[in-house]
Amino acid sequence: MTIKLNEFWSQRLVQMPETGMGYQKVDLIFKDSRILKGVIVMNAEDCETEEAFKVDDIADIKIHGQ
Amino acid sequence: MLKLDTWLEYWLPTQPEYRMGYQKCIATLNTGRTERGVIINSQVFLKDGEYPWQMLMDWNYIQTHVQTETLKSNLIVKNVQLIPREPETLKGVRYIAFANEKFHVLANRKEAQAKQALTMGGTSYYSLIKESQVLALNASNAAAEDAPITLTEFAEIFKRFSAYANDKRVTPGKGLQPGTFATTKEDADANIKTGTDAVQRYALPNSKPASNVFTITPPKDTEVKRGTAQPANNQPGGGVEIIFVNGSPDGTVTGPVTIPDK
Repeated sequence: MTIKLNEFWSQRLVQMPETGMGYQKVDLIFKDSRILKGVIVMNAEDCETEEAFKVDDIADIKIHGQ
Repeated sequence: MLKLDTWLEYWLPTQPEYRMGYQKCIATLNTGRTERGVIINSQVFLKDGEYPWQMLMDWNYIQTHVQTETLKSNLIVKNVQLIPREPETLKGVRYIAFANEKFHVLANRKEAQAKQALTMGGTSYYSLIKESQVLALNASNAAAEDAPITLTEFAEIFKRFSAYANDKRVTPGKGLQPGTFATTKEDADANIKTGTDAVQRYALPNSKPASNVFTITPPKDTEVKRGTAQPANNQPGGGVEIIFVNGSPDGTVTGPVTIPDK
């Protein structure tokens, strides 16, 4: 499924380096301490994930492996 | 001119040159004697005093007569100790960082195993050397992120393929954000006709073809990393991969132009 990030997280990702042309592989850290690792985000906005989540529950986003 | 033991002809190409086309060494001959000299093209040993310019012959003579000349002697080079070039003579040679260092480490290990197999009389020497060469090739075929920073040339043109017409890595002023990927115009023109081609060649995870093409013309000496797209996302990769380390200034990006999806 594709989950669209809000403008706040989108702008945060734009300031971070890409993993490849047009995408970033990221870790999503949620407010309840849950972490979703290795999520692909296209164009700093479209999360491709098999696990559903709410964008408002995101506490932080980091580039995977950094 | 002396011929080399067969294993040296396989091993020497994996070792650094002293200068373009030859390696300097101390050679151990089948008699046990050692001689200082050079090895040309991993094929033939010339001892000190026998270099072409000293013998008033040119390199072509060596190339065309290596078979006949080496047969004139019963001497053969059984082992070599390569002489590395003195560091102070390398001024002006740009330092090349070892990208994909692990492949260099693995290649060296395989080579050590091959030499051990040879001394123990095993039959696995040639297969181990082949594996070492493949690993060495992988080391040289690194992704851009592992490459050293280099600079763009005057009027060098790059392309970026995106599934999005509103690509967010392109700034409002038509520049590029730091850490943005692209490819060279040469790689794009030669290999990409459709958005699907781009997904495959640059190993993208896109469910949609990358059919929006941006053109980037950065100023000379823009910092970039250059490499090869590694296989990923069930795509083969293999395309030239460029990372704009600090982005590109406003006014250097045009597009997008749309290409067919398939």
